[in-house]
Amino acid sequence: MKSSASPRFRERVTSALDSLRQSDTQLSLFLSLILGALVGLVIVAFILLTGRLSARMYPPGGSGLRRILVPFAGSLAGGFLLFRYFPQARGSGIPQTRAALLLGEGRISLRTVLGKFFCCSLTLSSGVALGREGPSVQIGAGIASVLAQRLGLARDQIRALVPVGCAAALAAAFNTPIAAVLFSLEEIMGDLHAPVLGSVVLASATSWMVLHLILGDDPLFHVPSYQLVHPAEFAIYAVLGLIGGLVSVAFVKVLLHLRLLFRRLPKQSVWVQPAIGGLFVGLLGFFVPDVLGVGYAYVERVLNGDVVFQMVALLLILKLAATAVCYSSGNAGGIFGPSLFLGAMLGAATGSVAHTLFPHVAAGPGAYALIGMGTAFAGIIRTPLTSVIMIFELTRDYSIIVPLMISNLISYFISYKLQHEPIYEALAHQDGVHLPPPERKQPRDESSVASIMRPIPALPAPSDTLEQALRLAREAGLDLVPVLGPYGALGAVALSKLQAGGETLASAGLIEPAHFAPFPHLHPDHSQITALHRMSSAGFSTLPVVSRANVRELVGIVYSEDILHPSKLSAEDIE
Amino acid sequence: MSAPGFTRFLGIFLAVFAIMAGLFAVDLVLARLERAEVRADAKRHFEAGEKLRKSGAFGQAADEFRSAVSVARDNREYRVAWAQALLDAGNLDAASEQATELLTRDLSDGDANLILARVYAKQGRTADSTISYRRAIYGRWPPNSKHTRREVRWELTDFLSSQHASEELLAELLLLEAESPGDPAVERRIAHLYLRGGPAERAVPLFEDLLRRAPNDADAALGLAQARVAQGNCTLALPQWRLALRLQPDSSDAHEGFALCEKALAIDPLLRGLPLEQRIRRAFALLDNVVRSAGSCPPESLKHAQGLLQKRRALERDPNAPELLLEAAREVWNSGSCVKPASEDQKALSLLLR
Repeated sequence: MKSSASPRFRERVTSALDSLRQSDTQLSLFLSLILGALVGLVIVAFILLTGRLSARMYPPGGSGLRRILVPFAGSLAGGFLLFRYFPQARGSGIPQTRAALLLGEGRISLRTVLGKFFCCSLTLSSGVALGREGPSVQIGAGIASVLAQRLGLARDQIRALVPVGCAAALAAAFNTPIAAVLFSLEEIMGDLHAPVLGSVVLASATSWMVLHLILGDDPLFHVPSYQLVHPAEFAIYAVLGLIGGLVSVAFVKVLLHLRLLFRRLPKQSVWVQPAIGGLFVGLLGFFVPDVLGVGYAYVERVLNGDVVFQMVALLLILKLAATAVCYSSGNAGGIFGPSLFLGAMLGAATGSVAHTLFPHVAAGPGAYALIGMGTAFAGIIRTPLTSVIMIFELTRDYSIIVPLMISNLISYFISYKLQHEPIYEALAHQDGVHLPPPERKQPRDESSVASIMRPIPALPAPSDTLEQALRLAREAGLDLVPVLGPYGALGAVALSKLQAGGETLASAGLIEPAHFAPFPHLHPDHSQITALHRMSSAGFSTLPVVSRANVRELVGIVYSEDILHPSKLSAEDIE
Repeated sequence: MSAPGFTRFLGIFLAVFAIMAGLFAVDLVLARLERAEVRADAKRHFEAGEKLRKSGAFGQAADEFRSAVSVARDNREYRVAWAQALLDAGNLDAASEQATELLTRDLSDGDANLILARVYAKQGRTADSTISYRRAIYGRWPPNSKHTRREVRWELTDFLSSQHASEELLAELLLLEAESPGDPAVERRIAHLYLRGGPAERAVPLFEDLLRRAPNDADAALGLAQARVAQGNCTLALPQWRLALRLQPDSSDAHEGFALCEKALAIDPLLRGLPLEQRIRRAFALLDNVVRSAGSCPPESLKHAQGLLQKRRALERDPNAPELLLEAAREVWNSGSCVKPASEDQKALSLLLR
């Protein structure tokens, strides 16, 4: 005979679950806990799998030929998988996550998550010189997004859970729960006061606990306690910040430039391009094995003072080249870890020189390697607050906080001045994705371009004659004429360049059918004031409106007369 | 806001929990695998380091031990081996750093204190080294340690002996004697240590005991002779030198010692059995030799001795004259570095006049 408590207990559980799913706040917190645990478990599996595979694929003391063939084969296989099955899993994952959050309503597919997990495991464990933390962020964000979508949550709820997944992933990947929260807010959301702060903290803490439950409480790097030797050391740390900023800029520019070169290769070669990166790092690794992989073991040696100047200087250069080539060739992997490596080598080299020149003033090279890690991270990733907290959490050494802050700030400033666009935004731009700055709101409001743009008129193709293009432009009243190719806009031609004649746009040299040429444009969420400014600076009275997610996708045309119509603008707007 | 259907909600979370359970199991397996492989890796490095250390390649051994420690940070044995290899390779600062790291975990760690003591010894920091040696002796020694307290005490005594720290050495040697009474090997070692750095007279009964047990023990005979000489008693030393020469005819130490004692006894004015006249004659000869050797000394330091030399006639029959003259000679001899005897006389004079 069943007890009477049983149905009552079931009723209570059912009622609790029902109330949970009806309450936005409770559901959000509950999901944060679940995501923290789930993402933590996934990322721990990712770390362990990558570690064990790499120990087998290129063991220390293995043959040189193996060090060439394994990265090549791994990146070739990874490249094929990415091309054929998981195109969204390419790259580091951070810009892709931001694009999904800001432009894609927070939607990331399960296929992307699985692709990222397995392709990155394959390439990273074969020795490709990229990191696992960026991919972890996309995996975490993806898990959050998939779960939210499966639960049928609203768009805002899905978007709110993406940074929760990011924070949980980074907390597990780096064992840095505080930095994970800061990074999620500072870089992913671009807003340190985001309303999701509570959920992000909860998820980060839960993920961190899962990591500790399985792997124990070990910081990523064990370092001796460093002290400031002499107040004059601050000047040396400032110099390190300066050099770190310059090296950061060099790395970013090399990477972006190489990526542009790879993107100009024939599209049919996309699946084999990662193998070029793998072969390159393999050849370097043949001579200098420490170039392979992310190199944390060598970083720890350097942090503990085991520094030979020639070796760290060589590794700085080789790793910079290896990471740039591996990333730009399309391998799946991140640049967090390599940034720390570059910073450690740079710091060690600087510290070596400083200690030789000023032995009674400068600490050992290990201290400078520690500061160097944060310096490079701040200069490359451009998250100064996160970089300070991250280095502290990675090493648990509070004594270096002030020199770290000084060096990071200088590096950040130098990097900002010489490379205005942060690397993740620049990478997104190269992919034709224009991410909005943090203060931009996604939904339309009345003063945005979206509310006044007109539908796309008939537009010329590259094979149309100048005369045909001129007629279409006059019919639509355009003075900047977008030209459409099979995949969207190819470029735009000024009305003044069109004239009667039988030459085509392509043969007249006004459009290159095979290459996209950037042109003045607007996005739907731009304000009308911004539209007027751009029209004025570009010298056109009409501008095409393109999607932020794909700059080749035309969504409308804006005419200056529509903005200047008295009923559309208030006196304040004009001022 | 849309609330998901209840059944779907429940179903999804049950699936999520099932996935989490599966992942947890997978993670535990992978973590265990990693720990096992890391331990094996560390052990491999450690064993390679041991081989290199035994072959004398301390620098390379230190590298291997460092690799072992980097993957197995909590393994005390690996860190001790690393610290010792660094010390053997002459990298004192790094060895000190690792020993200190061990001591932060356990202040009474015997191995760590021993390594630190050796570092201080090489750096010439005698007091610090002695303290660390003592901490090592009274510290904690795990069963698999390569050293024992006794060995460390022996090492300390060798160190103190080399530093001529007689008082500290005596304390340690007394403890060692008390720990192994009647052990010939221990007695021999202690006796030699007394000879080298401690009060030499304490070596006499030990060497005598050794000779009693083994009358043909050449080392004991030699040691006893040296101890007697250290006491300043060539009369008792001479038969021991003879014995040592009989047992080890090729011993240069024995030959030298015997010749020295013979020479010393030949000029010793206080030698038993000599008639007064001969004793006085020897005493005057001794004083005269010393005064002549002190030609560059300040005149006031020689005044008393010269006065005595001039009273030769008055002292010819004085039974106290030999002691008086010997004392005056001793006074001049110990007045400073201005005394420069002929080299063949120096050792014998030094023996008589200490």
